[in-house]
Amino acid sequence: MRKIFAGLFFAVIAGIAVFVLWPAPDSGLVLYSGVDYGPAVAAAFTKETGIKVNSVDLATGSLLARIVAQGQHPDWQIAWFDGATAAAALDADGLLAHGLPAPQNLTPAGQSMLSADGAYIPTGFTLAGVFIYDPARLAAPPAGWSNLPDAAFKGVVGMNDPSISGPTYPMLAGMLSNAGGWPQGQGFVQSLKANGLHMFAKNDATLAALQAQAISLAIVQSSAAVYFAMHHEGYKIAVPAPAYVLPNVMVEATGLSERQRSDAARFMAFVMRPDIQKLRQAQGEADGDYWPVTQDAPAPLPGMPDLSQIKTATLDPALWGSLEDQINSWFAKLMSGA
Amino acid sequence: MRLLRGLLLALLAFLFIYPLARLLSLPLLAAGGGVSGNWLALGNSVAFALVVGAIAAPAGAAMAQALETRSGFAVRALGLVLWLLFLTPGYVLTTGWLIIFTSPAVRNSLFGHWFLGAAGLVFLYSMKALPFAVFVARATFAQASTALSEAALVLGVSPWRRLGLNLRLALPAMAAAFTIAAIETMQEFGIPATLGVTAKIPILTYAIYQRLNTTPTDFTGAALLCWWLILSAVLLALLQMAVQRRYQAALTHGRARHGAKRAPGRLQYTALTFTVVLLGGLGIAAPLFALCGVALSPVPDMRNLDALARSLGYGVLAASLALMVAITVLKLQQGRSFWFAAALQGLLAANMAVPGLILGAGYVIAFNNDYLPLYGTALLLIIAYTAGALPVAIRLLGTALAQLDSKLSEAARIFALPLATRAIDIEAALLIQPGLYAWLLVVAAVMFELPVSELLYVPGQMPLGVAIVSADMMARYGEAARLALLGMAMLVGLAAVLTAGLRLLTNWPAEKSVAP
Repeated sequence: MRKIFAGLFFAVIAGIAVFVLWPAPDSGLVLYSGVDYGPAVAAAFTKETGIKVNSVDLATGSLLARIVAQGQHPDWQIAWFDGATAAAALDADGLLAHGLPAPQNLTPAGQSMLSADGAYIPTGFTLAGVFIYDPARLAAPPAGWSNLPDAAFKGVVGMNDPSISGPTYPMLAGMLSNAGGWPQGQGFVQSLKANGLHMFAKNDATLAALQAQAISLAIVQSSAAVYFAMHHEGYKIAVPAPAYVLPNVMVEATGLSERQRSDAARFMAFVMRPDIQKLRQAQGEADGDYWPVTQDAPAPLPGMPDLSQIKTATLDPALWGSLEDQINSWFAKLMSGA
Repeated sequence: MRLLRGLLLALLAFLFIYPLARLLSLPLLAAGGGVSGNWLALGNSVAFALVVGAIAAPAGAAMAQALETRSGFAVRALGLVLWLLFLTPGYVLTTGWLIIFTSPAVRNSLFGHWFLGAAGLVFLYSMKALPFAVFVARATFAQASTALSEAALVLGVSPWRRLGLNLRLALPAMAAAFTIAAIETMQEFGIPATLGVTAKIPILTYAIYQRLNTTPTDFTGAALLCWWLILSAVLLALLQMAVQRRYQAALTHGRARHGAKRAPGRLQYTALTFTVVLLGGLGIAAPLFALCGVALSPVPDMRNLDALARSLGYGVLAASLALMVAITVLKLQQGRSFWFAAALQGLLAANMAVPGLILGAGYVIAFNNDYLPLYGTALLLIIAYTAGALPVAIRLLGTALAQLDSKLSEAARIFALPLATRAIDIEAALLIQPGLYAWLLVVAAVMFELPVSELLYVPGQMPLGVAIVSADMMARYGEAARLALLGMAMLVGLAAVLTAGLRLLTNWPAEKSVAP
């Protein structure tokens, strides 16, 4: 009887081993997704074309770190995340394929977001940093970026950690750019730190801190702010001038087979179709609150700020992408007081 | 046999030495380190380690003495609370506290400001370090003789003088408790990763993780920080050895006479009750009640439930592999080969000094190339879990295996019993109870493991620890609480089923005859 029990035990262990380690027969395309609508779009693509897309959800910081760590041995084929600067930085490291097919019917804004060598394509955009605040505790938001170091905002402002949160580096770069560029803008960010700037991991954590009244004003991505304000009463959004355009971009790994490149190109065209953009808006949670960059796309979701009333600015992805590591390291040291 | 030993050492070198050498050689080969900003992380980690060591050493020694010399309900309750603290992952306790601080009134109170900073880190570190300190110090008090205290009473030495003498004699226990608490604090990753204060208070383990898993990535910088972490552990261990050598003989000796456990006096009873309430209330009950409260409230979009079954599967596989390798190691160690035993001890000691975070970082670098492209696979994750659990598995099984008389095996061979009978009906039957407890402990450790999981998990297939911390980072506390509590419930269920099965199996009527 003991031998039967022992045999059963080993059979169970062997079964678990097979279940855990058995390689997937055909994983199709692996999509590293830093956007909420990634899984829904991947499922819709598989349903329509039969091409399997395995969507892997990661925080943008972790997503980028994984891509860098894998280097020339990528286990992904497509990545979709916020920030042309991050894409430009990956491209500068030689980790991205070139010549991606540009989306059809791009608006002039969308055209301006294309990369010169086709290393990434824009699929929509949000704003890198807007102010969301609790009017019960903060009567008036800052009139603009330059007012953030005022005494009225001492110890009440929070933002995300750019090493983890994808949209935050472009916002930080925008603040630096607005304050004179790099390294001239360092003084402005230092004054924010001196004024008691708080830092949390990502949009959700910063907004949770706002809700828990640890801060009174959060600087987060526009989509997160709009979504939060729509689902929680009593919060207001103010868009600073200029507001920095944050394209959500798609990139492709190097060294793909012809078939994989062809499937990836089909996927890239698929995500820009009007009906799929509606799906992105409906299934994208906070990330669904984006502005499309194609002329035949559905209108932005209700509740989003009127873009015509907003003064926007676009950062040079190549310039600020090349500075990303340096600025993020400097900012981490500044915030920790090192 | 020699070939087998060689192969086993080669396997262990492949699991430990190769990845660590690849990682730790990076700063030696690179032109510049570029870690100037992380002196603060090192300084903070050392400071926290020393403070927690200073708290845990006397407290741990006092509790260890109470557990070894006193009896009664309060002592049993203290033992239970310490085991609960030991078994509950630090990041789960931290999640409970984060839930408490979602209330604006609590968060903005003086307590909230105090907790979400250095004081909170010290508190949580101390809670996790105390059980280690107590368990290590207990070993000393378990061997302590009553002769000295009896002599002091006979000679009429004043109570204060006796207390001073006792304190001096307890120094080895306190040194051991200090060292283990400080090393545990230096190497703790889950608490700083979850509490969310690392932006203001950089911590060494989290700085290593940041360099590997956030942008910008910096493997060389991470490796340099790993050196600091290892060196600090070595320094602390040397300090403990020095104290141990200086004072060891005073308290423990071969002719020690052990006294019976006595009921605590009124003052001691009050102190014990206060300690149990403090540790049990703030250390366990408050965060667990917070977790339960949130877990029972509706969670609109519950995700990552599959992480529970996945991590249980990883735990079961890694524990089974670790125990199989451990038994092989222990069997081969029983021979007369001095070099094998020495090499093995060296390898295992080195691995125990290296926290999971460093082992995981080594695996990222060592298995991400054309020859061994295992990075991003479940296989590598399970290998890493197994490698990390192996020293513990060997320690846990070693004592039990040492008690098996080698003549049993010889007799079975003389009677020409088949291998399966020898292995299952004799050795496994005798080892099954400690083996099961060791297996369950490793399953639990792997299931809630965090640093290796964070660095090596297969994208899209989150292990439990990663799923809980990810939910924390997005303030999805309901999800984090449910995952943590369901994970614990699964482990309790598994332990209950297997323990019942074991009882059934050991009470099974013996087979009447064994065919030769």
